[in-house]
This record gives sequence, C-alpha cells and structure tokens, in this order.
Amino acid sequence: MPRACERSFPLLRAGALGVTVTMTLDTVLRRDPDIVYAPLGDDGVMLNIDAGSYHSLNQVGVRIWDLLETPRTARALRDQLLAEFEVGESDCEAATLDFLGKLLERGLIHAEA
Amino acid sequence: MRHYRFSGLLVTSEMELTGALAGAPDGAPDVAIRFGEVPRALPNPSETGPAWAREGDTILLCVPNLARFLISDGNAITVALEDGASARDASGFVLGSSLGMLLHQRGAFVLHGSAVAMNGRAIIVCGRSGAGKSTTAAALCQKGCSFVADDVCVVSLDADGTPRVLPDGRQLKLWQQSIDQLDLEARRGGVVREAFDKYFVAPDTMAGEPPVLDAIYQLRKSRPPFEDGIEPLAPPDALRMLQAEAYRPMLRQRLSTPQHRVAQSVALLRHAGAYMLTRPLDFARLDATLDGLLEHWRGLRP
Repeated sequence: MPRACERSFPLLRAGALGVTVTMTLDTVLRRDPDIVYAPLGDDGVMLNIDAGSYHSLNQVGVRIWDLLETPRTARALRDQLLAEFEVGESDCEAATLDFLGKLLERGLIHAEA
Repeated sequence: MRHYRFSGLLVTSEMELTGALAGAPDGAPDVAIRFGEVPRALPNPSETGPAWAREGDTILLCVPNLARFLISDGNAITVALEDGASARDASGFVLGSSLGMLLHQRGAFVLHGSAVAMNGRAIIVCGRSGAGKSTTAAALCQKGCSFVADDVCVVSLDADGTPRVLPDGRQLKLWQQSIDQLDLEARRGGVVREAFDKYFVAPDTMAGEPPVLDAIYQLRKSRPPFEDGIEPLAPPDALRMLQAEAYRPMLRQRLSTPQHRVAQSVALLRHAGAYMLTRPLDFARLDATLDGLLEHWRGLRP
C-alpha cells in the first residue's frame, strides 16, 4: 500500500466554515488569483483582497509561492524543496504540508478537487 | 493670482490660502485653484461619503454654510462660497480635505500624521485622533526637530526608491508655550490641543531637498496589555498600519487598486521602518518617551 499522508484542514473562509479539505501529497494546489504579493527583503508580504487580510512569508515560503506560479502537487513541491534546501525528507514533508495547510486555511491557495 | 508650493505641487490660486507658504511662479503649475460654479450634487456618483461624492475623476465636497469644492482630474479645485461665508475659513478646507483628495486622485501616497525632521532625515508619527501625534511632533520640535508636515504627509520615492517626506508648505502651527503646560493640562483632564497657543512659523525644512523618511511610528496610549515602549511591526501589521493610517483610507481604497496600494506600502517599507510606539497616559512622562523615541530614531540612521 502506498504511503498516504492525509491531513484535514479546516477552511476558515466565510461561507465555508466547518468544511474541511483533505490534502494529500497528490493534491494539486494553485494560487488564489486575487492575492497581491510583493517581495520585501528576503521575505514576502501578501494581501488577500477578499478577506482584507495581510500575511508574510519567510524565505522558504517565498520559494514555495514562486513555485506555485504554476499549479503543482504537494509532492512536487516537497521534492523541489528537498533538492534546494539542506533538510531531511520527513522534516521537509511535514513542514511543507503544514505550511500549505496554513495557506489553504487563509484562502491564499486552493486545492483542486 | 497667488503661487504656493504644497507637498511637492506647484499651486496657483485665485484664493488666498491662509497659512500656506508662498512659492515662486517657477514653472507650469500642477494645480489651479479658482472660484467658480460648483453644483450642489453630482448627477451619477459612484460613491458617496460624509460630505463628499465621487463620479469618475471628479469629487464634490460640500461643507454646509461654508463652501462647495469641486476637485477634478488631480489638477483643479473650484470653490463656490455659500452666502456670507468667508474665503479665509474656506481656505482651510482647500489646504486640508480638498488637496488631500486631489493628492489621492494623483495616486500619491498620503499618510495622516505629523512629520518632523532632523539633519535631513524624517519620521512620521501616525495614530488616531487623541493618540497624541500633534503633541508628540510639537514636543519633538522643542527638542530640536523641525516640522515637515502636519495632517497631510506625502511620501514620494526617488528613482532609487529612497522615500522622502514632502513638506506640506503650510506655515506650521507650533504650540510654543504648550509643552511646559502639558503636565498641568493632563491633570486637568482637558484637551491639550485646545489650550495651545497657536502661532505660525516658517519651517526651515522648506529649503533644499525633502528629508529622507527613516521610520513611521504608530502612536497609541498605554493600557493593559500594552506596555510603554517601541516595538517593530511585523510586515503584515506594517502593511495594515499603512492602510489604516492613510489620509482618508476609504477614499484611497476607492481611488486606487489593491495592487497599487500594496506596491506603495512595500516600496516604503523597503527603506523605512514601521514601529508601534506605546506612550504612557501620563503627560508627566512625555519627556522620557520623547527621549526614548529620539534615541530609537538615532539608532536607525546610517
């Protein structure tokens, strides 16, 4: 049986309260088109226009956001980050999924069904 | 025709702008202010606010029993005085709201705060009414700073991105005898500003290049759980602060795109710091707060 990494994330967007989205390593993720993003030093900041909320990304977050310019799976992101950063596979996977979950929660990215 | 310089704009005016510094008629004016017909309403306004309405590139501002102002295309203000109203009273609304709205039409980055400078470097103090921004700025001037702008602070970026605060060109209201009265006034519980002896001075910052912006301090009064001191704002909080402290933020929101606003804020934050300054309620400790602020600012300078 293939190793499955399934986690549920509550969606906090208005109208979607209580709905959970299940993200696996094979979930395709895409940016929300209504996010305004700007680099700031090594970090990045973003405005979710709908929610009127502001967020910041650290260096790794900025890299993930850049990679999401084209929609891709969590697995593809993990593999790319493994190649670019000094990090073990399980740490990388856990941190990537955790981060993507936060982006989903905040409505900054969406999971394709 | 009179000539003024206001927040980097050359202004010609049929109306005397009380409190504004005269400028030389050197070059084509950016803004023309004249007396003329102004409608009482716009035919199809897309937005309305308290006393104003917008339709396209035109904003109508109505101040009851005083005057109506038509602010157009970021380059013209037409004033119609109501019967019996004085031009001198109306000129305050030209220098304040009307030019503030016009600056938004031009896409300028306008913050609602007071700016002071020292050795060619500037800080802006923002905060709600009553947070003490004017008091702080006036007190800083007593400690050797010069006034740059009060109320309407325009930040412009050099070609290399360096942010500068443009002097607002007003003869600034300095509250000379007020500082030593602050303690007394605070104990009386009165509004400090009203007790101030206002008089006009010509700011020395009008000469030479506008000062470089080092930092923006958002002022708030201390109350639990906020303790006195200066804390850097995390980037999302800094962006939120710059949005909230914009001059007439709702109008700015309607006249610009989110992309433009974020780009302006980020451009500013690349060079200038954003801090929360929590000040003690007690004016008796104002002096220590100001010394702390000046020391913090000195630590930022190259």
